[in-house]
Amino acid sequence: MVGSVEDEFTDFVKLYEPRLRIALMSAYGPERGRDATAEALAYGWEHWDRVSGMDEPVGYLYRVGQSKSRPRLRPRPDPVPVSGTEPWVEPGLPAALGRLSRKQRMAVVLVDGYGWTHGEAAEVMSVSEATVRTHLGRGLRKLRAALGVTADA
Amino acid sequence: MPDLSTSIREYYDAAAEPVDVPEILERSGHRRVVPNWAVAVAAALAVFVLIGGFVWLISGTDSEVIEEPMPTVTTSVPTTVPDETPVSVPDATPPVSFPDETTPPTGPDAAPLVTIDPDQINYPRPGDETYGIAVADGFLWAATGEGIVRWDVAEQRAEVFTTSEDLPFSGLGAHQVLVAPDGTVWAVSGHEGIARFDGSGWSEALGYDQLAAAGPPCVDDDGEDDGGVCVHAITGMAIGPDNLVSLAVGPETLLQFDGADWSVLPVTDAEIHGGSAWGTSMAVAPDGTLWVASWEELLAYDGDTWDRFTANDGLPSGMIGSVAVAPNGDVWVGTIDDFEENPSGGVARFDGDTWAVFDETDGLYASAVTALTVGSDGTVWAVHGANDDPSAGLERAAGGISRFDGTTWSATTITDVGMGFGRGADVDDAGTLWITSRWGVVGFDGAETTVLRVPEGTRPVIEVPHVVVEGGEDILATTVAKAPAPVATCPAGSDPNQLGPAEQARPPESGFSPVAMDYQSGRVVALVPAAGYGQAGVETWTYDVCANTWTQMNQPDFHQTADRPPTVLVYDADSDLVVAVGASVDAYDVDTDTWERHGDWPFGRSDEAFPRLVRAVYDPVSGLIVVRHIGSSEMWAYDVDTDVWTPIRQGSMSPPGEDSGAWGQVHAYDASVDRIVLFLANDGLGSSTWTFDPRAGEWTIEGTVTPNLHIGAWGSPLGKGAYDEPARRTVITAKGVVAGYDAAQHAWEILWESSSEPNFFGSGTGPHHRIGDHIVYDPTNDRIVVIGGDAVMLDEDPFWVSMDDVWAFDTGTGMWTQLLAPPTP
Repeated sequence: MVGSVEDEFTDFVKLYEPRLRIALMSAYGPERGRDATAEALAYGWEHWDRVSGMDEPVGYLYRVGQSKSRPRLRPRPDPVPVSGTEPWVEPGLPAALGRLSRKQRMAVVLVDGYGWTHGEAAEVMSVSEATVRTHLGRGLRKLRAALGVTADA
Repeated sequence: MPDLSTSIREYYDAAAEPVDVPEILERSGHRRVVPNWAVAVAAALAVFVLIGGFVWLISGTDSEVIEEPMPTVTTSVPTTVPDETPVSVPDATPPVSFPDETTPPTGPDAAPLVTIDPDQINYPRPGDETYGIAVADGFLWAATGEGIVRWDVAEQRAEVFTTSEDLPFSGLGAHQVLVAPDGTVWAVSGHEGIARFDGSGWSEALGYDQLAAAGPPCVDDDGEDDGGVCVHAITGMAIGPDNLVSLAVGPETLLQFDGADWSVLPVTDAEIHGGSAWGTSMAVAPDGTLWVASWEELLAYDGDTWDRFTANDGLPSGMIGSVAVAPNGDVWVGTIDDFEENPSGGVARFDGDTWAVFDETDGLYASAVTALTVGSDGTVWAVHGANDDPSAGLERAAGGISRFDGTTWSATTITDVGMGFGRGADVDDAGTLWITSRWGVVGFDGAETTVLRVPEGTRPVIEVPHVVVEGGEDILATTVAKAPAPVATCPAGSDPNQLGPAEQARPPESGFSPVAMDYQSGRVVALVPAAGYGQAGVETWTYDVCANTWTQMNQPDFHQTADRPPTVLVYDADSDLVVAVGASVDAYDVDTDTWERHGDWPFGRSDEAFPRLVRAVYDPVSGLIVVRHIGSSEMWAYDVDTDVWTPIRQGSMSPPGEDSGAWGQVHAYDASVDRIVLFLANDGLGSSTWTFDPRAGEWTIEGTVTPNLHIGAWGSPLGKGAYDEPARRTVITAKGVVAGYDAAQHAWEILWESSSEPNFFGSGTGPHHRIGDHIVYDPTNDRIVVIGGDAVMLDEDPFWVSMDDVWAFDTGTGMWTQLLAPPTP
C-alpha cells in the first residue's frame, strides 16, 4: 500500500532520526545536536521531494543541521540525564568526551559507541575512512587514558 | 561496569529525547516545497477521484477488504529483580532499607514478568562502584554510582543519599566528594552541579553555571568552536582551610564559592594548555595556594600570580592525575602516562623549590599512579589501579599501593577486592587508607584490606525489558525437512591444518562480511564489499576448508550499488543453498556458482539501516530458515524452496529488541536440545541467555550465569556465533575471549582467553583481538573457523587493520590453529 507523504516522512524520521541525532550530538553536544537534528529534519520535510530520493540522507541532513545550528549556538548544554530514568554512565565520561576534538569524539561515538562502519562515519564527517580510523584510535587512546581504562573487551 | 562503548552509547541515548514528527512539523511551520509537476499530478488525481467517487456511488460499497495478519509488538514494563546475593566480604555493612520504586504491572493488561536469577549478574552492579572518597569525623563519604554514601565505620552503619534524600542531582553523575574544615560535605557531578550537606540535608549551590557560561568556548584540534559536551563540565573541586570551595570547570574556568556567592578567578595569565582537560585533581595548600592539575601541566595560584610546572620542570610526566598537599606544605603529584601501551609516570614532590621524583626504582609498586593522598601524619600513599573489570573478560591484574613514610617507599599488592582503577583515595585519623573500587570502598590499614560495599538496597533495579509479539504460526512444528545434503570430506592427501598459501587471491576485506558454511561443498561462502566499506558492489568468495584457499566466484547481481552486502548468509542444508537474507533474498548454489533472485523479505523496508538488524539460523528439523529482526523482535520462517515467509508464534514473552538497549544479539541453533540459543548483551544490565523452542513457539530466559562478552554493536554480532556439533556448544567469539554455552547443562564456560597482557592490543597465543570477525562451524573438520575482522595495531597507520586471516578453534581443547596468515604488505 502506498502511504501518504506524511506517512512516508514519518517512516523516514523513524528510520533516520536516531542516526542523524547521534551524529550531530556527537559533534555539537546534546542540546545543540538535538536542536540541529530538529532543524535538519524540518528542512527535510520542507524539501521532501528532494530528500526522499536520496540514497544516503543522513550525510546530507547532517550538513544541513550543521549549517542550521550555527546561529543557534547556546552557551550551556542540557544537564544529562533526567533523574530516575537514566542509565548508568561513568561519571567522568562526559568530561572526558568533551576533551576530545570534535572529529575524535565523532569517530569514537559513532564507530565505537554506536557501531557505525568506518565508511558510514566517514560519510558524515566528510573525511576518508583512514582519517576516521586515525581519529578513532587517537580518541580512544585519550579517552581511556582520561578514564583510566586499559581494555574495552 | 559497562564497557566503554556501552557507556558512550548510554550517555548519548540518555542525553536527549528523540525528535518526533510533530516537533519537526512545528519547526517547519508545516511548510513543504511542492514541485510544479506534483501540483499538476495532484490536480489530475483530484479529477480522477471525483470520477471514481461518482462510480462508487452508483455501484454500491460492497468492495472486499483483505487484511493480512501481521504480528504486533507490545513493549512491557521492566521487571524487578531480587537483590543481589551478598558477597562474602569482611565488615560488610547492613543494607539500608529503601522503598521499592518499581511497581510491577498488574491487571489484565500487565505484561508477563521476567525474573532474573541474581547469580546472572556476575559483575558488580553499577551502584557498587565508587568514584570519589573523603574521610572525616569518623564518617567515610563516597560518591557512588547510585548516590552519596556515608559509612559510620565505628558503628558499622551506612546511610545513602539520593534524590530521594534531596541530593539535588542523581547519584549517577556524582564523581567527587569532599569534607570542608567546617564539616560541611560537598559533592559534585560533572554536568549536574554541586551540592552541599550541612549535617541535616542537601542543598544545591546554584549559580556557578551562569559564570561558567561566560568562560571560553571549547576549541577542538582544528581550532573550531567545540561547543558541545565539554562546555561547563565540572572537572575538579578543592576546599581550602578557609572553607572556600574552588571548582575547575571546563574549559579553563576557575570558580570559587564562599558559601553565598560565586566568583571567577582570573586565569588569563595561567598559560593553561590543558584546555578542557584541566582540573583532573585540585588541592589547596595550608598557605592558601591553589594547585590545579591537568593532563598537560600543574598550575599553582597564590591569589595573585600563576606558576606552571610541566615535565620540563622536573615532573615525571605532564599527565597529572592527582595532586595533594602535605601538612608541611610539600606538594605531591601522581602522574600516569602512556597507560595503554607502556604505563609509566611516577610520583613527584615539590618542596617549594625543586621537584624530587620517585618511581618503581625507588620502591613504588608501579610508576603509573591512579590516585595519591597524604595523611595527617605526612604519610604519602600512591594508588596503582588494576584492570580487574570482570566484564572485560580479560585477565585480571592486581593493583597495588605504595606508602612513603618520609624516608622510604614500601609497596603492597592488592588483590581480590575489586580495586578497579582506584581513582579516589583518602586517609582516616587511624592511618587507614581508603580507596574507591568497583565493589564499594577498600580500606588498607597497612596489613589487611577491608571492603565496604554499597548497601544493597541502593543498587539499581535490574530491569530486563522484553516484548510480547502476538500472532504467528506453528510452522516450525508442522514442517519437516528433507534429507540434508551430505557433508563434504577432504580429499585424500589434503591437510586441512596446513597453512594456506601466503600468495593467493583474497577477498578485499573479509571482516564484517556475512559468511556461511556450505556443508556439502566444504566451503565457506562470503559476501564481501568489492572495494571496501562505503564502496559499491559486493563479491562472492568461497574458502576451501581443506586446502585453506580463497576463490572468487561469480559476482552476484544484487546490491551492486549498495554500500554493504545483505545482512546474513545462512546455509539451508536440505536445499543445499546458501541464502542471503537482506532487503531482498537471494540463493547461491556453490556447485553451479550461480545466484538466484528470490522475493523480498517480510519486514516491509528496503532501507540500509534495517538489514543489519536481522539474524538468521537454519532449523534442520523443519528445513526452514528462522529469521529474527532484533529491532521489532518479529520472527519469520523462510522456505527457500517455495520463497514463502511465515510469521512464527513466539508465545507470551520474547527477548527485547535493540531499542531496549539489547544491541548485541547472537543466535545459533543447538541440535542437542532442539533450541535456538540467543546470547543477549543488554546494555548496562549484563548479559542474559535466552532459548527458543521452535516446536512449542516459546522463549525462555535461562537461569544461568552469562558472561559479559563484548561483541560490539551493529556490525559485529552478525556472525559471532556458531554451534559446534560434536562439542554440543554454542560458541561465541568476543575480543580476546571465546565462550561456549552448553544448553543441556544451562551453563556457559570461557573456552579461551587471550594470554596477552591485559589490554586488547596484545595478540597472545591466539588470534589478535579483533572486531568484525565472523565464525562458522566446519563440519568437515569438526571445528570452528574464524574469518577476518579488524584489529588495532598500535604501530600501524591506519590504526585499525583488516586482518584477512583465518583461524580454526578446537572447542574441546581450546587450541587455535592458524589456517591462513594475514597477507604480507
